[in-house]
Amino acid sequence: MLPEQRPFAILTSLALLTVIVYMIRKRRLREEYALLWLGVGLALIALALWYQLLEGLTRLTGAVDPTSALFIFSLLFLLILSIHFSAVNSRLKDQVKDLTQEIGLLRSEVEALQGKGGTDPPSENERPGPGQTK
Amino acid sequence: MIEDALIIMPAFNEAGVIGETLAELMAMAPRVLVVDDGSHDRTAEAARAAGARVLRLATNLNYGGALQAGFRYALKKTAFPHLVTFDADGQHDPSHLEALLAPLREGRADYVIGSRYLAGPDRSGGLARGLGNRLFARAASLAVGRKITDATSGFLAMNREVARVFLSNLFPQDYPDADVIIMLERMGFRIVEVPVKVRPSQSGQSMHGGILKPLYYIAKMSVSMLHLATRSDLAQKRKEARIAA
Repeated sequence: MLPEQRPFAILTSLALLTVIVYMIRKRRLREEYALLWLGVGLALIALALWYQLLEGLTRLTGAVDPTSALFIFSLLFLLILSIHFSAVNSRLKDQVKDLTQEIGLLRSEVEALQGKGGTDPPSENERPGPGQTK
Repeated sequence: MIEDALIIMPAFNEAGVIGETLAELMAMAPRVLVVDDGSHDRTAEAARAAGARVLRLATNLNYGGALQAGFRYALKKTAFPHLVTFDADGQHDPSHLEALLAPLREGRADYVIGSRYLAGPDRSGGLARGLGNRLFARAASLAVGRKITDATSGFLAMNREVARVFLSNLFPQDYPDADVIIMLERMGFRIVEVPVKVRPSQSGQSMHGGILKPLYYIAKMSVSMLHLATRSDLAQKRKEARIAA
């Protein structure tokens, strides 16, 4: 790393870490993500301050130069994060579906109690209350 | 008059046709639950005016999600031994209901498919859709090791145990088709097809319209079929559903 590049790298890493700490303090990041991003912020500062660490990582991965190594690790990190968010998104979608269905059932109960539930077709021992689970 | 089956009818923006569909259906099968899948029009009001019970969903969950809400209602709130899925757009002919329910009543089947192709070719959906349907029927037949003529029919009847399995997250939220047949077959459920005729949709909307949607559907269904054809814990899932009941 050229000497004139170092201040920019350190300042950017510090700015990122400050934003992360601010977001954690304001509870805008949940604990599991707080830990992850704190780790990322600290790793960036370590790499900016300690260039030998990046050189060591470059040798370890067999990359031609430190910039390539940095790009490889950044891309890998973002890829893993995207997969993780897709999994979280799928789970949330399932939960929203379950909640919507449950709310629909509860709404139908309320409407039935208020006498607005339609003219009464389904019967076969229909349970007026919350019913059994499955 | 059919009194031993709950007819589950998912509906999304079908205010214009649902009244007519229900009038014809309820003359033969009065136990109808309409699942209003977050419609923007007056579908729920029209269904109520026709005399159906209505389950309103706060947001649009898609066809499979709306069906699942109906199964949830049927299992939690009623004791109907048989459940039937029926489209709101007037495509399904209620005169086939008795034939659809017969294998369940006689204890010969757990899941009955109203097949559009058993009684000869069906051209109601156009050439492209016909080809797509054939493709999935062929894939489902290959996966289950016997002939399935219609893997994409929405005119179905089932017993409560099948509906219980459908409450799990294995049931697709968009379009339950060939993948569900593979899943049930591998779980050991008995599947029977009976011939039905379908009519052109009255609403003019299609779930698989456009160019990208069908392509996405084919890709998604292929992944889903592959997943369910290779999963090893399906018998266990059936047991779990039975225990949960």
